[in-house]
Amino acid sequence: MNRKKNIDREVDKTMNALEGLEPAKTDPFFYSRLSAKIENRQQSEEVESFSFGFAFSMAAVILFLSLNVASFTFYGNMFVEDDVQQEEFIDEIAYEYQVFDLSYYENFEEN
Amino acid sequence: MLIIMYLHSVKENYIKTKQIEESGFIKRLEERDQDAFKQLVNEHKDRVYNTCMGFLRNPHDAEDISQEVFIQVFDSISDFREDASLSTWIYRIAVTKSLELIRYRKRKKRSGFFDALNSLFNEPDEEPDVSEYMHPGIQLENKERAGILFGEIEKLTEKQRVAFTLQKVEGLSYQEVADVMELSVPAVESLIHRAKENLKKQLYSYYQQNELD
Repeated sequence: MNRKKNIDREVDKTMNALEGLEPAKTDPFFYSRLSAKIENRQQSEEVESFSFGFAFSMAAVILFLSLNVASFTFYGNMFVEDDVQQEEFIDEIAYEYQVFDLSYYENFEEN
Repeated sequence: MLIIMYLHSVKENYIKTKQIEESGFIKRLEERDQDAFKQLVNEHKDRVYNTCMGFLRNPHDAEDISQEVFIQVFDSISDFREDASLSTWIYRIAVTKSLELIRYRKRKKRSGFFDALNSLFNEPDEEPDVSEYMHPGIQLENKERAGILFGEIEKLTEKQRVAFTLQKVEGLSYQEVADVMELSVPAVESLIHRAKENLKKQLYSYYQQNELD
């Protein structure tokens, strides 16, 4: 019983420990530090935005060039292949229809 | 009766004048007027710092968060809707930012395994021990008890903790707490009542476990 009373008293005292609490205060240089932080942040943002802009434009140029090189290499080979295929196709047609075989008509007359 | 009506009209006029003054002040802030910003900081810095100290109990964290509060005010003053007073809005930011830091610290504690793993390869982070610090406004003879009480406040639910801290540490009225927390006054009263009841229970079991001399 005595113990319970003691605990209750301690609880009440602890509950009142924040009574008469003085408000915490900043020091007089708070605004100076804050404005310096804002200024630094603005500068670093400018540097960041410049470096981001530079990096972005460089990446765009590199992408543009590599796309050009890739497409030139790829389609260039395709055009060469196309040329070869087209020549082969003409030869085949010519062979099939014997367009350039002059002896065809001579043979035809003889028969 | 006439005196009451007169006082009521004086109060209304005062509120209207204040609102007009505040609107002009906010406009200056939106225009990035340095003098207006300095005035705002000087008017609110101690209360913001005190609020942050109430939650964080660490002067370095409180200073950092107070600065973050004013930076956010500086950046987003155009988002301020004027449905609450400027000081209430600033308080809200201070409370939100303080709670964000507390949540971040808790998450960090939970990820202790990964931190331990990380510290094998890197220098460990220097996280300040909150129990070492104390609100500077606490009287010397109450330091030990206040430390115990703050420890128990941390165990309350977030809403109860916010309401109790704003009312007890910051000394806000129920109406002001209600404005900051965007709740009704009865809801705040109920929160603070429950917070006190829970604290009493927690303290009782604390003193039961830690035998009194």
